Amino acid sequence: MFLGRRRALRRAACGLSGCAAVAVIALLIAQVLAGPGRAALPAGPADIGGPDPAAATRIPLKPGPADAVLTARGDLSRLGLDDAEPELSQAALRSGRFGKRVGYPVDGKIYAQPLYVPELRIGGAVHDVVFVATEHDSVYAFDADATSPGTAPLWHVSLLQPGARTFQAASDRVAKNRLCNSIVPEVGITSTPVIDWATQTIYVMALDVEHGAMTYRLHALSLTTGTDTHPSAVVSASVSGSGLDAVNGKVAFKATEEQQRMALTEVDGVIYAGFASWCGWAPYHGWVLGYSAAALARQVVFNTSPDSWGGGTWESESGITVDAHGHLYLVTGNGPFDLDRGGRDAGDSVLEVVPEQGTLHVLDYFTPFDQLCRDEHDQDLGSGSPLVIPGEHELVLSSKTGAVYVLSEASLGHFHSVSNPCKPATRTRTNVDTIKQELSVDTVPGGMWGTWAYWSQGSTSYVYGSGSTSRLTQYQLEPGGTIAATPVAQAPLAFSYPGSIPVVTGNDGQPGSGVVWTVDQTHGATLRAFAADDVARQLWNSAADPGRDGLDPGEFDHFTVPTTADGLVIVGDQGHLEVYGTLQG
Amino acid sequence: MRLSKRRLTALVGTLLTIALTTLGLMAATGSAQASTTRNFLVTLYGWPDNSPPGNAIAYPANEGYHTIHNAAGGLGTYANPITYATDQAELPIGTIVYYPYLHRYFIMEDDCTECDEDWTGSGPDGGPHLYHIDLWIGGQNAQSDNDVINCEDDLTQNSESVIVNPPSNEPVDTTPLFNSSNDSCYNPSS
Repeated sequence: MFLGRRRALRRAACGLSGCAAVAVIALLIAQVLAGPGRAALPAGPADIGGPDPAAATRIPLKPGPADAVLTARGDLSRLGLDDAEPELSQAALRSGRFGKRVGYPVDGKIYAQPLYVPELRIGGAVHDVVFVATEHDSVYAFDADATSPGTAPLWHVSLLQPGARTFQAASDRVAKNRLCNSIVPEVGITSTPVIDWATQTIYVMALDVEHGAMTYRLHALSLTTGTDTHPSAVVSASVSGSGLDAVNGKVAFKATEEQQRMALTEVDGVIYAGFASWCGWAPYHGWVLGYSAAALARQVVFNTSPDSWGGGTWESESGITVDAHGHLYLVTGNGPFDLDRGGRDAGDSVLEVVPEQGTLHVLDYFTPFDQLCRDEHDQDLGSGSPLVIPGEHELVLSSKTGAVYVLSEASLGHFHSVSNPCKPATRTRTNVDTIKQELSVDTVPGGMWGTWAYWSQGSTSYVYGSGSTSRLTQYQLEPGGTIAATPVAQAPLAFSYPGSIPVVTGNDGQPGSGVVWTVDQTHGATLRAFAADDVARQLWNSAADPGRDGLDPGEFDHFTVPTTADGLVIVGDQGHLEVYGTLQG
Repeated sequence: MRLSKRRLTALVGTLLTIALTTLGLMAATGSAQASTTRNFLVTLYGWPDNSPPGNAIAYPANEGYHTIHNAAGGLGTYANPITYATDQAELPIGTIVYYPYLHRYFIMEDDCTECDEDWTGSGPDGGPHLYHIDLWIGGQNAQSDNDVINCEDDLTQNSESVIVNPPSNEPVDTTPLFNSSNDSCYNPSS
């Protein structure tokens, strides 16, 4: 019999020592407050650089309760670190008493990361609540502590409009009249929602087919009832441009050409959604649209390739990385690039942007020297999101080529060309880009679809990257924030495409308390736990006792990110919301 | 047989119709089948160039297109040419070409955005009407996607002779362009 779990310990740990996760976030804020100054960049035709209108802005990177998960990967820096989990210790995972507590049935596949709010009053009672969205356009609120799969959801709403249906991958045609099978059999809600703690509102982007027309709607739902607090906003936009699909000097947003996968991001009262292609088929663009949280009025329209195509913003479904100034860091996919020549097309680039006059103003950017090769071979730089390393004023990211980039926030690096950038001997160079550190292509074998994870114990810090068709790898951060090129350890098995997107739990940085969590599909979808101080040690996996702990069989949900909170590990599965924790009884 | 004027008129009409139809068909077919040789920008693409990585094509035979594959592939023979991609306005779907540099046949079965741009003149390579074909190289299960991409770049030719609507008896080498079993790349001069 599965009984309840202990959460008081965690609360006590937070109360006495201060949650390490909060400390990390505080460190991030502090580093921005004391951070290096930004040199003003010359403003060209693309209006890059210039004064930073957000220089005086300070935003909380993790609003709400310390143990809540209100946005993808837990906070706006996308750290993926939950360092207040004594119940998820390495010893607990080896005890045989860690496993699946409940699998709640849902009506569609779950691509969105589950969100978590502790001690929320719903229906007159206080619950620890998991929120999850499905590709069938449903949103559920489940009691995280219940252990019976028959327990009714606290609420459940369908965001399908009357008479509408979900997008059917087998029959609904998208760009150039093609079928796209990146998500099957249906597409509804793919992106991770975001919760506004102050207003107790959850924002959700839903796609449906209304009278034959693919339609994106941004919804604002009450956290306690699931009802719309405002009429949903139908997504539409246009910008001036001469792009591949321009008509009379305008490029218009088309749902048939744009798939919305990036986690929604709330910054300073604006809900941002990033869009990219359906299966990479042009003409598409990278669109980032921002809506006011208060009224769902569109406030920001940004197109990464108004005069060409591509530059999609999808980042393997991560959210926009944000620093404590409220600067947004976008990473675009393949597409033409001409920022260095005064243009506006920004394929394969890291863009540091702030909202300004209804669009996003580019403060700084980095574009790797092999951009042309990336563009020609669909080797998105933006196949993942950058990770802000605490205390180092830097971003770490990889991409489909497996190169690793460490960028200084003070100067991202711009673009530096080289002759014959596509030749194999040139592509391995690491001395062309002027950035803090660069590790060559194939450093992450198979390339990375996702994001790095971070763990620090004592004075030693690590980052963890998982490649497609390669092993989860642990690297040590050297003094100054560079990555030691020789890995510390590697997981005992290679993950098949697309690898995994790790998150880390720990107990206030105590040595030996760190655990790296992944979901992969190497031998069927599997949740795994590795020792953060030595990822060669696999501590637990859901396939060891498939009858008790297994994930749904069949085709895997790509880019799955486990959610950790209050001693639980929560996984969005193909037909269930899976909740893992300590088993009792 | 003696023909009445009415019958003769009808017969002539019928013959004219047949002749015109045949000529029309011949013209259409002829324009598709008359061999022409011109220089192309010839690039290559494979498994990792698609999102998600794979061999899906724009014009699969099972959707009614005049192609032969449902996914990118082929051996390079005239009977089973390898998939290539280009702009429809440049070469119609199903057009077979022979590429002497690689000693094999290819068939138009896929779309290529860069080719579209080169044809319209909006891309980085030049144009308009820059002839550009993108040849399928495979690459599934490669140890590294970068090996596939390096092979693609090694075999890319900025201006190389291609025979459009070629005869069927050109010499053929069916060695894989990229061999995933050992991550080796075809050497045209070997």
